[in-house]
Amino acid sequence: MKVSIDPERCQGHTVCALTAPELFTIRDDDVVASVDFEDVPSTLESRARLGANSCPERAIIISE
Amino acid sequence: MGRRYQQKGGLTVALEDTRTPSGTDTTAAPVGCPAHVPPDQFRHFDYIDDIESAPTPFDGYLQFRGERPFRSDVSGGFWVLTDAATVRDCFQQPENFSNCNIGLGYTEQSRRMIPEQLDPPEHGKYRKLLSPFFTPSSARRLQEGIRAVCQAELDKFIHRGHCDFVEEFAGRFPQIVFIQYIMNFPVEEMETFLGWEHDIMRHPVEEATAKASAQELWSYLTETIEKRTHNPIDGDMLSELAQAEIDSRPITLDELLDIAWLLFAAGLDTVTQALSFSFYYLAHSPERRDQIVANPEIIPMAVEELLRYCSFVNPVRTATRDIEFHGANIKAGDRIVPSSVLAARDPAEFDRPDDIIFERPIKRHMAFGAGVHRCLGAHLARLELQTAFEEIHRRMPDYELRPGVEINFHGAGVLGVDNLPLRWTPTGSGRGH
Repeated sequence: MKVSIDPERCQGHTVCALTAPELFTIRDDDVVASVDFEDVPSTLESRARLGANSCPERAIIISE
Repeated sequence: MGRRYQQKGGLTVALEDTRTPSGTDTTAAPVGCPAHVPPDQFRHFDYIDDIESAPTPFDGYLQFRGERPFRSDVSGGFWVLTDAATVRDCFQQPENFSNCNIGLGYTEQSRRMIPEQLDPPEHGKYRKLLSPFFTPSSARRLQEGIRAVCQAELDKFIHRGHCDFVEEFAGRFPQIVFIQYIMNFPVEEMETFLGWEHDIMRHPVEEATAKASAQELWSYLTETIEKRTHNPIDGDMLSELAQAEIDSRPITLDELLDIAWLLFAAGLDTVTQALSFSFYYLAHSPERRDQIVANPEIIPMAVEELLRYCSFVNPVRTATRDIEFHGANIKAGDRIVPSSVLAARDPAEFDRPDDIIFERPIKRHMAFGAGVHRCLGAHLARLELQTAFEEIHRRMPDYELRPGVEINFHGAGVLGVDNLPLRWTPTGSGRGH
């Protein structure tokens, strides 16, 4: 599973980081979210889906 | 009529010189269905009266759940978007849906709040100047101050065992944090600033009073910005903004005023209402209150869920071109309300949308909007809400509604609670950690 964030869509709500902090963080500039693993470890796949589903902008893209 | 202009009303009353109110005659017969609107998508929906006469203001919008977007004949006409996907699309298409006009009650404005009423690419030039002051880490740096203000405000009435929550807490705590820590205004004059803010934003206040206070605040902001332009304070937001450049020229005093005014108008009453609605529902539901008391770790989730459930901002957009949009035949110039109430209670977006479920796994609410205008103060607001939840559930854990007092709500784009009488077992003023 790969996960990425569309920087044009992300508006820095931080809900992904609240929902799945082990995968999503807000960088130091705090403007947009970033994801710590491009290739998601299999143990974190359900967390990645949850984080993606929590995005108010639907800015998190998952490909399997 | 004064009531209609109360929301974000300070701006309206302060800057009324060239504004042309429209839809001011509430007794006029409804205008006919416009030619471009199918009759079955035409409704009579008064975004103030229909909300204030409903059991709670949310019900005024929720009566339209499941419908296609519809067009109301009130206030010169506006579309209401009725589901989460459509609301999100509208927020994410600023090129089609301009933010130039933020209210339904009036049309032309002599000034615009910056950056809220700007569209891309102008919007981004100002937004990026403000963003560094409102990041999650900037908010976290204020945590200690936020808690101190929260405790000091609770100390004023906790021994009494009852209060009006809106007047004595929710309408003061976010205001003091903002005035003291964001604006760096002198704390000795706090009550004066709070009085102005109260008159401008709180509901209901006589229009003449609101106007007088708005002018005092405007003068004070002008003086303060001029002072800080010439004698900057280290780390101060207004001082730093005053040194900014827009398109390679210095930012102007007028632009700084339009930014400062936005922060007052958009950022203070909204946190007041988020607190008031949250505690309205918690006081109605002792089992959820007790859940927080027993398990304070759930507070961040409880805050998010109540932000969703009580989403109360229904903003306005203006179509920049003719567009067929999710079943609405919108013409350039039509005004559109992407209703956050209807988005938050959309069963296609949330399971059991009318239940408050702190443990809800998916929290993609749009209480702070979405798209480029996503609420700049969201992270500060969250921290204020979380801190208030922590302190209140620790110090007055058996709060409940005080019986026999009628609770009033108000409508318009930003829904609100006028009063919230609470009581609890007095525990003395000790902060008892």
